[in-house]
Amino acid sequence: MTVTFNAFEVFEIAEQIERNGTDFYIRAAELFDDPKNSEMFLRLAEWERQHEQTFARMKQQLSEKDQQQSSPESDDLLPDPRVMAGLAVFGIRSHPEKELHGRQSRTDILRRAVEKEKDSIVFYHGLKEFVTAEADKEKIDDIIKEEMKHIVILDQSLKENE
Amino acid sequence: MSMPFNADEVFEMAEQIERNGSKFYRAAAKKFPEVSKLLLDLAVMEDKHQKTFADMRAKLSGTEIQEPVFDPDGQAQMYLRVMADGHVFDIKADPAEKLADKDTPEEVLKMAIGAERDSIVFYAGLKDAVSDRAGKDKVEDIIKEEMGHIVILNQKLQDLE
Repeated sequence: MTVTFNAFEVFEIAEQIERNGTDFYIRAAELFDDPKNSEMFLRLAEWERQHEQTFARMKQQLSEKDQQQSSPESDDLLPDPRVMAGLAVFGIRSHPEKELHGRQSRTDILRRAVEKEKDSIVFYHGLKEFVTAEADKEKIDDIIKEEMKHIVILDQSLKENE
Repeated sequence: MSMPFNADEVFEMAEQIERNGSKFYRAAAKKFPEVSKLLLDLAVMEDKHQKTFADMRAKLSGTEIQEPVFDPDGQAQMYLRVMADGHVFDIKADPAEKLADKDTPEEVLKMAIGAERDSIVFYAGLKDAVSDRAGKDKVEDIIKEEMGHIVILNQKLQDLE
């Protein structure tokens, strides 16, 4: 049986992805002993923390709208909740502390970070289907663009560390 | 300093991804008859995407073919460069060859989900790199269809597990 999600739950997953991303990068910063890479990871962590706040605000607005309307808008928003159920595979994987145990090589950590960024790009594309306001779609597009920027930064570091 | 990509080159990469996708699904269908119907259906869908990209490429005007994509802050170019150099995105690799070490339908479905994910990640960059006139909306439609493929593959995976 497929478990489906409503818009509120989907935003909660998005927040969790970003929280995990922040934790992942903070942990990665601890594992790299050179200031350049540590600073890069801390910068990425800060970026993800801001994304989490954006998603939290969008979720809050969604819940306020629901309270004002007799029928919850979140239910009307869903084109097909199974889509998000299918994409949830890219949502929460494992907790960063389990993922980064300190025995991986630098390149392993960087590659893992790239994979996480790819997962989030796909998940957020699905998330866009759960919002109707153009302004909200644009906010999600901006976050997708920033995740793409993270891939460029991580790729640069991968080249330097290989 | 690398030469910036133009729209023609970007669409060529997209066509290559779809060709790889079709080839992978057909080879996988041959190897795993128990999921062959689904895989062959997906191969046909990737054929259609390849044709869509080929049509978009054919319709580019002379100026659009030669000029670098519109990218005031250079971000799209940097992203495309990352994808093209095969470091974190392996566009040029033949996915059918990777089937050699896959022994179960579950493994091949997981691999397919990963390949679909990577194509979406590429098209996210492609969308930013093409103009409205060159078909930005069509790229968004293809992204949605690839997301649909992930849903189908994931559903099948759950049925098998």
